[in-house]
Amino acid sequence: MMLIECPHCGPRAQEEFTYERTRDSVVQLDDAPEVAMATLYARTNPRGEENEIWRHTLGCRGWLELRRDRMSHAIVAVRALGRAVLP
Amino acid sequence: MTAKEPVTVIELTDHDAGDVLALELWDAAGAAPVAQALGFALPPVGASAGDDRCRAMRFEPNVWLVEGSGVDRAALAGAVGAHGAVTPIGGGLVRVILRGAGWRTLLMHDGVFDAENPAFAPGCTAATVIAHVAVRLNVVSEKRCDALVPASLAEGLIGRWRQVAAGL
Amino acid sequence: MSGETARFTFDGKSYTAQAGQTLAAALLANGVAVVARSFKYHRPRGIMAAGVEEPSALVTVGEGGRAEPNTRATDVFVYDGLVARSQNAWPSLAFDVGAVNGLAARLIPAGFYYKTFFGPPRRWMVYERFIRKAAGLGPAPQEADPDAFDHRAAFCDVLVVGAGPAGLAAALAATQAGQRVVLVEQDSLPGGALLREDARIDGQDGADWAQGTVAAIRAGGGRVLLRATATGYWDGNLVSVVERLAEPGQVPAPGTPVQRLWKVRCGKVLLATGAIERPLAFGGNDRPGVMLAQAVRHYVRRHGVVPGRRAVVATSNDDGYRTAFALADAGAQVLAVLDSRTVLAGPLVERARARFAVLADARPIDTRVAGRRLSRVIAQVGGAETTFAADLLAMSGGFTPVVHLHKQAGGDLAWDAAAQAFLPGTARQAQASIGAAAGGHALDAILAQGWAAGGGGARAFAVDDPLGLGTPAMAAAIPQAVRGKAFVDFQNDVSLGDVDLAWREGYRSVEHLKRYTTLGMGTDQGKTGNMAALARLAQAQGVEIPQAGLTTFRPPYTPTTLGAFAGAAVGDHAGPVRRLRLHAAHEALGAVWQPVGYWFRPRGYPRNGESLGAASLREARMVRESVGMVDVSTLATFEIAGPDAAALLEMACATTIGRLALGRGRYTVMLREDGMVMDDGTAWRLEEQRYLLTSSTGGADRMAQHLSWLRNVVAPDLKASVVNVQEHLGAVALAGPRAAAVLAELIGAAVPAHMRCARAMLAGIEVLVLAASYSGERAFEIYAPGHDMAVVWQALHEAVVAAGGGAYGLDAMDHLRVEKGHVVIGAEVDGRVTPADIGLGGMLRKQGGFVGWQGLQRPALADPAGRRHLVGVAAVDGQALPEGAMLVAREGDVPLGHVTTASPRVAPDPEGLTGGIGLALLTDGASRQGEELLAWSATRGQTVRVRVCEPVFYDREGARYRD
Repeated sequence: MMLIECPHCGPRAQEEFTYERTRDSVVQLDDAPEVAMATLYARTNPRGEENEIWRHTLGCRGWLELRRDRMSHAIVAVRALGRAVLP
Repeated sequence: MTAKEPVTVIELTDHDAGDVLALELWDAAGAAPVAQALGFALPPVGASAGDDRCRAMRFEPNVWLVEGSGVDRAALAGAVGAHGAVTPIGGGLVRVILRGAGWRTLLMHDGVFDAENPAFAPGCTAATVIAHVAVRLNVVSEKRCDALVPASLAEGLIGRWRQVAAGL
Repeated sequence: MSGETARFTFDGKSYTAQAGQTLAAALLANGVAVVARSFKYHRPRGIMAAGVEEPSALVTVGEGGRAEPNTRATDVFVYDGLVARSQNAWPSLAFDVGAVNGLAARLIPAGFYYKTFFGPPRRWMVYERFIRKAAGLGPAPQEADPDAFDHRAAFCDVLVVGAGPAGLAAALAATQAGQRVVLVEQDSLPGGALLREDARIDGQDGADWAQGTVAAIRAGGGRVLLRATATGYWDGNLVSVVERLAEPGQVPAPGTPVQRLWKVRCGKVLLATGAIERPLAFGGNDRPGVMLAQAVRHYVRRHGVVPGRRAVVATSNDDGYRTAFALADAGAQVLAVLDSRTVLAGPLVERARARFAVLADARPIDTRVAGRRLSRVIAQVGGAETTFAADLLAMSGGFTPVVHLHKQAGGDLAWDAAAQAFLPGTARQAQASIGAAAGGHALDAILAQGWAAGGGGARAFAVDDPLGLGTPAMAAAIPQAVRGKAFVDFQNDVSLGDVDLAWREGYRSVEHLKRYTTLGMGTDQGKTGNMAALARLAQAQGVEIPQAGLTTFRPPYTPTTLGAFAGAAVGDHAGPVRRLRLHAAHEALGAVWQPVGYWFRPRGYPRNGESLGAASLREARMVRESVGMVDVSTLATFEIAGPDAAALLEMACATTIGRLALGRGRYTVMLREDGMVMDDGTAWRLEEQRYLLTSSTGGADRMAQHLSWLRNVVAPDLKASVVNVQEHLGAVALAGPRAAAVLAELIGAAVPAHMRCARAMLAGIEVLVLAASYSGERAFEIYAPGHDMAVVWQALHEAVVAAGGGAYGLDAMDHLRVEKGHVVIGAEVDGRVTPADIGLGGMLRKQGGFVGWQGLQRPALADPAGRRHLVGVAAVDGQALPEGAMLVAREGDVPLGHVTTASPRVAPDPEGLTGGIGLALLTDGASRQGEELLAWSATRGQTVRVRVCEPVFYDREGARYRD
């Protein structure tokens, strides 16, 4: 039910988005195995604000990063992820 | 018990959208030759350019949908060159043309997008979800909005739209 | 009120209502005193309130699939032909056998349900049968609802909830300020409190002012919805509103839904939701004829119905006096005003003293009935008892501001000690409460507050109230001792005595009290009675009410029909349906449909009364013997183009792609980051820098998301375009010993060799031919754009039939692939298998670099010992295998594995076994070849002896699919 400010489309309903994972659990393919597993399974999971990766899957299909309070659901900041958008 | 909202008129037609191409650029240098091939500059996110003969619509950060009988595919592919890729996708789309002042009201049903906002004006595009279906909208005029609908889901959505339109 | 009338029935008897009356008003007007029986004790109940807070007068309205049980008689407007029935009474309202519960009330105390849970388990089962029948609400209709429900979004700058004076002023101001405004009102008329008062605003009658204001809001572009209730307040300032377009049980206008669920996304929300009057707690306060004072005034003023001729008004505050005036003005006799305050002063009281007996330090303590309705009110005045021969008792115990939506929005509450009420405190979302909901009292101040909240400039409303201003409302004290049952939750039959009992039994927290006594758990959610019970709990704890706590306000605010939540998603449309482009072609061949996710795919094509099983086996043998064709258009397909296309594919796929030559393809497998198999498919190099990747139907959306993730987040600098062409491309697989000949003839060219691809013209359509085999026979997948597929299918089908073959369905496809040991995502690949577990370990790129390579390094995954491996199982005694059966040495043992797919044999077994075959995941399966185990299905009561074997039953050499 949240309203998410898509960096490309403006404010849109949560129904258009899918949640991916927290920013700190992104595995790079050249990470050492133990680093990759720690990234996946030993996250901080703070009570409060967290950086989350979402995708506007049913909208512009772009990826974004939210800084969101997991207690109040307040979205503090949004930025686009991925390569630069052409003009 | 409630007064009916003002009567709105809507006419709905659906067509194969076999001519639609997906154009992706990963290099800003591709924009100028593509603009020359199309005859107009590529529109920004949330907008369209051109006309029924040749139109480019941008729903995604770096992808444009190009449609129309006037699109010269070879010329377009040549213009894109190494700056990006062109891939036909029209076999998977149905184009629904909504004619009449009622299209804004129609799109509010089972939807989550503010199609009633006057700022969503001719030349605007939006990708959203209506009745669980990913739909791409292009406002052609105050009396016409085109929708690109995935072919497999078109029958259900168009049936629902006809039902809603009949009650408007 | 117009002179129109409507006919309706209640419990089979015909009555007449005036236009615009609620069912409650019409029943009162017709002298129907008993409307319902109470939930637990089956006590006769009448109408207590005038709005949605009504706890007692629940009826079933409508017939057949339109029947709406538990409808508040106060919340349905009578239409011609309305049919209402009482609930929870047998054989009739007048003589209810269940009322014996009332006599035996000691046997059903608070916590009765919980108590029956203790002791022998059979005890609850015995009680349950009795309780389910005796205690209950109206039954849900058995028939399908014939009417349509709508879902609709709306966006606004300002949503105003409640069209009372505060809400109307706010909405008008916001409209005139140029805002997008939505105003919702649960009643059929705007005005709220103005409908029951005789105050005038700006020289106009209050109700007329309300109508005029609505007209002005609409004229200014605002949207006003009547019979629309804001039921839920969600994150992102989203408010759900249920609008009734037809009354409960009413046939809607043609083409019109009965209800519309609005999802309103708001810049700002103004909650003008008013306040609900509290009943007084005294013995027999639930008798028909005991009503809330404002409700009485509402019936008199709005509906022209005087609910009694000889009335007593009992109040803790000035507002109750207004009801005495309304009753007297309408011709009723007001026997007394009982005021619980000891010192009475003020203009309203003085005015009343001139007309009625006004008694200070006075309160009702008991009631008597004659013929089930109120006949006597026993009151305590000072230290003495007095009896009044009254048929109506109008009570006011103070007011509870409606803070539900404010709380749902995450707001805090503030305690008003004088009013003994919670008021809206700090808001978390962009919302504010105004009017009586915010504790407002004086009409002129409420109007001014609403106007300001709507953004209006300086303006005063001229208010003319003939009775003058009263003092702010005070709540009634809860008496320490009562005679008989003093109900606080009328709907769930919870009395002060039950609250006391719960306390004595050790229930200290309000949450425990609620669940133990069922306080506030009825369809009214305790709108009238919760505060009295809280006050009692606070008394027992020796604290103020805020310290005693408050239960959670959950949506919906009022009971909501399930149909409103479902909207159009009912029946065949409960989920979206994905249709194949070739749907009609399959239909013409007599396809039996199989839902696969949202898709509908042909399961088989039975002929002449053939069973599906027989048809599937015939179709599978046809493929083995001649040629068959199957629609595989639902496969996930992606075109990946650009200089870095191969690099991207090698990230997603665990096998080698980079060295794939132009025009060639390969089987591949994709892993999750933890090393488990996610999906499988084939990769084809169509052009120098363009590939086609196929993967499973069921995993299509997941794969699309995964590729986008890799392309845009993990490796954003790659020059590669990923386009999902699942919808764009249709595909037919052509398989069998005659497939190559059929295809060569159709395309007029040589067919590609196994695992090669080529473009070709087929029936005038450019197609892409991939030579890949899933069935184990020589086979081709033929792809074309969706809009060309009908032509391609028809040409292929004619040629295939001419070659002695035909179409086959999913079951035949499954039989064929089981014989070849090909895994299916979702069956063998269940999210817990590594590539090595299913025999694909050797295909992986040793140097890593693909998703999942790190996860595979974990010792528990790297060591095959003790893991479950893919094996084949064959029944040794000729039976079919139960799919999903556990593999055990003896029945009852801890399972060693399970049968993931079972199938009949298409081709005969070289060793002569005739029973079913299957694929299975089996602990250390690789070293168990030849062992005999039991396939034990406890749920089906089947046990079959099986032999463990290699997961290939047919053509182990792979000779048949090569050229």
